[in-house]
Amino acid sequence: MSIRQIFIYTILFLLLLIFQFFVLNNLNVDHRIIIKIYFVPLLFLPMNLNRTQLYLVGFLLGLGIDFFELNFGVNSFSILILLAFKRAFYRQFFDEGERKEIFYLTDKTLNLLNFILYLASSTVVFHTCYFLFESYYALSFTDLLLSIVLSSTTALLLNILISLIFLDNLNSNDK
Amino acid sequence: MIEFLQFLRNRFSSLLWWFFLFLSIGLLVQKNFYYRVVFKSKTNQASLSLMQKSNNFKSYFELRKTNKDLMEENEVLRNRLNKINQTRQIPVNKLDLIDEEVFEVLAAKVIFNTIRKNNNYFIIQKGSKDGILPNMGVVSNKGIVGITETIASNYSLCRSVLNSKFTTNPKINGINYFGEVKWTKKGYNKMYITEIGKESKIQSGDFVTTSNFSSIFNENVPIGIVGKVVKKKENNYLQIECLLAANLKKLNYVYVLKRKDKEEIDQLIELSSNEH
Repeated sequence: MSIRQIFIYTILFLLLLIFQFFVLNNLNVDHRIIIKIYFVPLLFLPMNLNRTQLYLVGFLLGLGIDFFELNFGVNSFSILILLAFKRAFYRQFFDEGERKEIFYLTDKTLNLLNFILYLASSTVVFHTCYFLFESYYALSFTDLLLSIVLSSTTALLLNILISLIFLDNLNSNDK
Repeated sequence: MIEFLQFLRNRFSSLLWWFFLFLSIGLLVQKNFYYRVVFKSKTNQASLSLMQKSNNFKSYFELRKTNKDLMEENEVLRNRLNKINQTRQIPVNKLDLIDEEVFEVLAAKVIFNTIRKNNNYFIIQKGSKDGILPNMGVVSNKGIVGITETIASNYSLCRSVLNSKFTTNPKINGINYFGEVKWTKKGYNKMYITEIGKESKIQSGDFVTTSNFSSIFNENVPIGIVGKVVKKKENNYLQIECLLAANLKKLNYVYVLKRKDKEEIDQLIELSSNEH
């Protein structure tokens, strides 16, 4: 990764964290819909990034969020599960030609549907883990399912929007 | 060692992932009250169940020793209880009726027993080394079961009450009789009381115990209860069925009554038989 890419990833992380803290965390609808999008940059990180670094960044990010939310372990656990699935989703939704391209996150060469499926799967996995640990003892099974579906759907729409905004930028910067 | 280090190096990222995962779970359990309670209760349950299983497994192999220890403890306790009851004069158990000053109680395991022969015997796992002598009374916790006959160093052959050579004098409802309690080979759970006159007021359900005419058994040790009482026309005696208190079929542990003044009594009996 170039310095410029690292800079843009950092800006993206910071913007999303601010948006998460000041906007989304205050949008809890009866504790049913909890939208989490701060993990999205992790999905955009190059696939050939050292896994040790990836896990370290993911864990520290989750731990930081946990610290601010006073919800120790939930975010870091969900991120670690998401990172475990990331490679599998990547192989599942992108073919070999695209895999080289996703290294630079060029959405122009990617199949949009596959990209959305990649985002959707990751978002659902994250929110499922999050809700399972956050509030499974407080909600019934149907309420839990409903919360996961509603939160994941809302988060997915935001994630697609963010991807469309930032991926072009990343691409142009890389060029 | 090198291979192990190589393995760690190759798997470092996976191991790190697992480490972070456990760390997250640890934080979750540590900082969240609900998970802390759940975790503690589950781990307590698991450790308790594991301990119970291992204890069951261990105790299964220690059953023989436990049995032996219990038997010895029982013997000591019975002797102690007899002593207490003598001073308080409150009999608690059938064996508590045994006079501690006259008899010493020795617990023994039955290792062989017959009930279907014409003359039945059983063997106990105590012998001359334990101070057992011939003609000592043997009782179970329910009632009398026999007397010692042939003694080896570690084992003793005992004549069962289900033996035609076994007799003892009964006491029925607290009254001594000169009759005899005998086994007439009619089942392993009953004996017959003979030579008791028709004028005696004996009825079904009366308690039959050992009398004070016996030097082998302590007085008032249960023999059984009176079953059918038949007045026969051909003689003046009653035919009294005695349902045995002790279950001879399930004889596991018995108590040998060692009379402390036995030698003295034997000498007197020998002397009197020589004179007459």
